[in-house]
Amino acid sequence: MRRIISRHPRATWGILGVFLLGAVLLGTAGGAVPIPLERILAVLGQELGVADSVGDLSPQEVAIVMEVRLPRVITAAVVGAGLALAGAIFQGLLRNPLADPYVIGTAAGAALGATLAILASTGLATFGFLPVPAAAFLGALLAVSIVYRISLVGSRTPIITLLLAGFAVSSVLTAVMAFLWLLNDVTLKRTIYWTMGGFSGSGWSKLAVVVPLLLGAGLVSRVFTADLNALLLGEEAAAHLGVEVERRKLLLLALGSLLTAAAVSISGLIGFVGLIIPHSARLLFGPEHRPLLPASALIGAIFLVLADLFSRTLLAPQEIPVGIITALIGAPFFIYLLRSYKREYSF
Amino acid sequence: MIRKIILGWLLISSLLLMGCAAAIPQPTPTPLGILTIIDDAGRSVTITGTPQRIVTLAPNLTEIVFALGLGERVVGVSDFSDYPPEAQNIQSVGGFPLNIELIVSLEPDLVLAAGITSLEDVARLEELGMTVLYLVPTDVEGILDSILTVGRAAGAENEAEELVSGLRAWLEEIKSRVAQTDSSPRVYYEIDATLFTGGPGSFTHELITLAGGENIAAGTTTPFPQLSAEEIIDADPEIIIFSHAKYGGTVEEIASRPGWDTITAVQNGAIYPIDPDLVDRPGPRIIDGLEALARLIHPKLFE
Repeated sequence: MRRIISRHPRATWGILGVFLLGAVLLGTAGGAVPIPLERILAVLGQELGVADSVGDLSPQEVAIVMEVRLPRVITAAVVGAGLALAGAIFQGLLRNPLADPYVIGTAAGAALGATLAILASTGLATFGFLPVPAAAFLGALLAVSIVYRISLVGSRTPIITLLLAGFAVSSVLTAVMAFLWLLNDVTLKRTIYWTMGGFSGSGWSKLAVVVPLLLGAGLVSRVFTADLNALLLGEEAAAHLGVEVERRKLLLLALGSLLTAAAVSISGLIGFVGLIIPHSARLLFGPEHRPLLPASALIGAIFLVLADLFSRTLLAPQEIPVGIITALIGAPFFIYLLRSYKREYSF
Repeated sequence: MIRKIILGWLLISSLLLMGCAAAIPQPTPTPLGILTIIDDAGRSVTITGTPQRIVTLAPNLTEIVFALGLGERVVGVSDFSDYPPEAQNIQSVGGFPLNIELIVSLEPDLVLAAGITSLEDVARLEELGMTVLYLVPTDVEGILDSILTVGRAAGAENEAEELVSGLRAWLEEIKSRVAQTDSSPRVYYEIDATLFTGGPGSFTHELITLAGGENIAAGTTTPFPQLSAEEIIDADPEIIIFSHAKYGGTVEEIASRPGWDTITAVQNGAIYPIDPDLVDRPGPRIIDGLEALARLIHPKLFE
């Protein structure tokens, strides 16, 4: 598989692109209210100006497709891309296959940061505004640096210490959050739903804040692929290759935290995307970060669009929190990874 | 050392036990005799004499006892017992979890419990010697029955009959007004901004139906289903009633949701807040709640 991909790189990217487009279309076509595919296409054609307008479309159909489903599907895609990219960056940076925004505490840090911002800004009605992503970013950065400091042994972060430190820091942050809810049940009621993760409140206005952030961070990540490749050899080797290790590490941590925070601030906590997607991308594209980062982003987008589609349709009209679906797929994968690396558990 | 600790522990716990034993009220037979009531858990509850110290473990039960004019006998109430205002001055015994120690110390001779209290807690209170009446009405008729039951148990039977017959007359009046019209507008009742609503089996659903509206969640299978935005747009409610104003819900926020501008209620400005305590709380104000809903759904019938 990997050989085929390295021989036909363009075709591979093309196929991934087609898959993403297909997933977006599928996500837009499925939902609690059944609308036939040809009517979905008619709405899309009419509203995007590619086809002639069809007279008999009801305003409800147009609103459902254009204002409810499409922004939601795009939010899922953007969040999936952001979380997967953050996961790929953290795994490369920490040289650790189990690093992921969820496991190493970034997500919990972002959630606590956002909770505090909401608490401080009582009365602001939506989550899309800038102080919340900003506070989420600071929280994420703080959490990941604490976890990193705790788990550092020499210049490495062994799996066991990283997992334990991530678990401990996440637990503390989550407990602080739960305590805040207890004190402020009225103001923070909505953040409880938010931490369960999901896309039900998605709209274009929230996307307008977060998409530029994620797109920018995604583009910036291209600059760091050579550093990430060098870091794969170990920090000393990277330093010998002329990489300013400490500075680059700090920048990469910030970048990964920014991606996590931007994603978390519109979707809440969605686990495992940042863990399993970079690994899948690595299986397909190998460990080199130049193709790995964009591939992770693309596959992450496809994965979360489909996971959200399942969450909306499996028990429709009841919605399953998307975190349940990603955990059902992600947790067994996590266990598989743990078992394949268990040689490292020596006492 | 260890011996001392054990001895000390034994001493303290036996003192505590004695304290508990002293706190348990001893039933004293009175001329009024013994009353047996089958409660909503199907248990046969024996009440001796006229209860003078009542603890209510849910806000709706507090309201019922006060509505029967027995407020002065209430010695403990659950958290969130905010109506009538006097109830807020009474000792709170918790909600989740109950402070069982505190309940014991109040020496109640009647404890009224609702669905939010687990049957384990009910059993625990009975083990401690308390008389517990478990009341879980599921519809408006059941609420009226609960009022009668509390009246019987607390020795205020006449007051209860009077209250219930007043409520029933009012209910019939609203029903007959609603019967005058054939229209039944589609109603969406929103519990919170994540689109939870009241489905069949909830008081909300029953009240909307009694008030002459058509609940858009009538086809769901649970009492508190969560709808998706697209279903609500598709159902196109003519009236939106929301009960989360005190949690930050506003007409503007609801009207500005993406895609909701196609909904008839949004276009006509028919989005109204309601006090959830009138509609969700199975107490004596439930008919107020019904009237409030009926006035929103059929304003012309109440001019």
